[in-house]
Amino acid sequence: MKTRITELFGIKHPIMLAGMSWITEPKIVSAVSNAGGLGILATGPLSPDETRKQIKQIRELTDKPFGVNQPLSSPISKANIDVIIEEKVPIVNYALGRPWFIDQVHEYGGKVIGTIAMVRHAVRAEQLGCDVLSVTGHEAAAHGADTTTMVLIPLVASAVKLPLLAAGGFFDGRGLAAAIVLGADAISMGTRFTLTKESIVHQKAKELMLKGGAEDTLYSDRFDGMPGRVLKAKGAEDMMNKKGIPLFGGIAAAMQVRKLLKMSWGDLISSAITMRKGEGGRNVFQQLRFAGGSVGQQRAIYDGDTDVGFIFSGQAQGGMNDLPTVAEVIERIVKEAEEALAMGAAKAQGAAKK
Amino acid sequence: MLKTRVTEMFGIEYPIIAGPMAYISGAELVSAVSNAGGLGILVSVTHPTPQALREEIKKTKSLTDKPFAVNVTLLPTLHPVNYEEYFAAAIEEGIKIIETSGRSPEPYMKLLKDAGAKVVHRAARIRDIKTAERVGADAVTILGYEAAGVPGMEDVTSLVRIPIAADSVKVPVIAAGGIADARGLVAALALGAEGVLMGTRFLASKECPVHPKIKEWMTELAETDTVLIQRSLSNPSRVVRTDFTQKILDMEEKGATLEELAPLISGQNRQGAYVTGDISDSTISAGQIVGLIHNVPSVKELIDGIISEAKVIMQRLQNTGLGN
Repeated sequence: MKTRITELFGIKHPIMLAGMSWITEPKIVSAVSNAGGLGILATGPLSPDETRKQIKQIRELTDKPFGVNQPLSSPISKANIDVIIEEKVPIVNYALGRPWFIDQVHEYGGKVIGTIAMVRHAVRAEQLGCDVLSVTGHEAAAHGADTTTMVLIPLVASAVKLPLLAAGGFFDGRGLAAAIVLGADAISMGTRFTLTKESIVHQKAKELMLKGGAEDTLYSDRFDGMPGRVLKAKGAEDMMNKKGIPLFGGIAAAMQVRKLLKMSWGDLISSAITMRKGEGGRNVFQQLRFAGGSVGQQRAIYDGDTDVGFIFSGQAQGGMNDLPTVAEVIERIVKEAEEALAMGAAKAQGAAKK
Repeated sequence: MLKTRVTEMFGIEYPIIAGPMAYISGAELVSAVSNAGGLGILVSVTHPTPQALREEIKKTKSLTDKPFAVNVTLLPTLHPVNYEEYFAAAIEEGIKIIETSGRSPEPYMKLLKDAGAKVVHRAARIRDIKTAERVGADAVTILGYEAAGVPGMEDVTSLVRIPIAADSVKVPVIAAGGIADARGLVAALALGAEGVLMGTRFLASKECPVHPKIKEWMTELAETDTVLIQRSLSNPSRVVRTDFTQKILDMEEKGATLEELAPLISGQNRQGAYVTGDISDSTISAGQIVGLIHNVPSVKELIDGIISEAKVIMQRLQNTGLGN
């Protein structure tokens, strides 16, 4: 399947791995790229040194194009972006903030994907010089707004000229065919790739996601400070029901995040008190939720503990019931989408003869 | 073109159905949709008596010789409704397609099947469409989170719902919610649906009997201008966000009871607003897809436009090699 996105990125199939903190590490990133899709390393939870190390690891595992995802709301986003540019990563996907580095990426021939969930943000990202937009619907794991993929894709496709990656609610070839019909040029999937053999997520968490129906998710800004969707389980429900701001837990978690990101105390404090402006703006309470969320996610991802921790999961989880390899996922989705589109084209041919 | 089991079963030209809208889907709109090759659905229980429904069916028949359907909403109302009499009125007037919603149609299935009617049941949960199939429904309609009206408590969107629905039942699936143009129609078919049901799109059509001010308003609204009310009553309803709906949400937040909310959410308010165009004391339903609606065409222009655009989309897929 050739689309504007496969051409632009030099990939075989119009399928991207959504960057997911801790989950999209070098192995699964290279597996997706080797299978003809676009693997994306999540650098949000990585220190600059770790970012560089993992980029190098990916290059040892694949010679195919790959990308990184960096949320610009993170206190170390500037340092990470510097590393990403030094390493000349082919595709840079940013979210939650205003990019300052688009020209630098273009200089070495890289491409920039902006992540948006609202039409006006799409228009702004186009003006800023993005090459591609990733458009996130309400059904996505993180971080969708209220508008669903069926509604948002045609609206954004009408509002901008850029090629679009549709994100949120995709798990099979019917979805890829629908995305292309709605005006997208590729799809981005997170939950589907989380539920693969290569994914490092704990088996217990994978099984719970497989068992969950499309209705078994929770959508709230209580998990990491931004509206997101997680698997419905005890830990997540407790977070939903807690009143007030998770002050003490949040501060304790912020200490852990500081250690993880190798931030100085000054950086931590200044990031916590900054009331950031723009799309990526997060106030101090959201920052605390973010810190608490980081710890909770790792418990679910690494230990399979969803009684205390939580895991982001899209409504697409309701459409899945197996743990295939990354290559199997990509092959069957492409095959199924080609069949669905061929059927449509055949009908058009019949109609044209009429 | 675009033949599916739904078009075959209902004897219609295109797999496009106009969702029944209270106080709106009368003879004029319903006949216009059926005349244009789609399927119009007449509302029934908002008619004060079964006799009034008979009159509306007769009027519709005088305006079209094409198939049209009658909806019976099986929901508890303030004044008890004798559903059987409404079903009987529809059947005796020769209606061959009945749409049910609100509750399982099981108690009336024998009556409807004996009369040779096809039954299509509309619901917002997978388990409800499975039940409908089990008790004999010939087709099912699945509502997504983005839909106007009552999209249910599960919040699952059309993109996810449609393929799961298609895998869950053998009878044809009709998609409702988030569809207003050819892109939505072809996408729904690709996802596994065999027809689409649109409400908000038909609200902004020439034949829709609401005040022109409301139709104009629909063309100006964005996709972010709708909100779900009545979640506290476990019966969410997607409406346009206004000062009035904010008042309802505030009351719900404070734990208002059904009795307290009833005067604000009653159908009578809405009926009045449709006539006068004054929306200051009424909720108005709209799906998120309202953001994609920018004109008020005739029903025929609308359906013809969707079909010709659908052909263009499918041709484009073929020309770009995506459909090979």
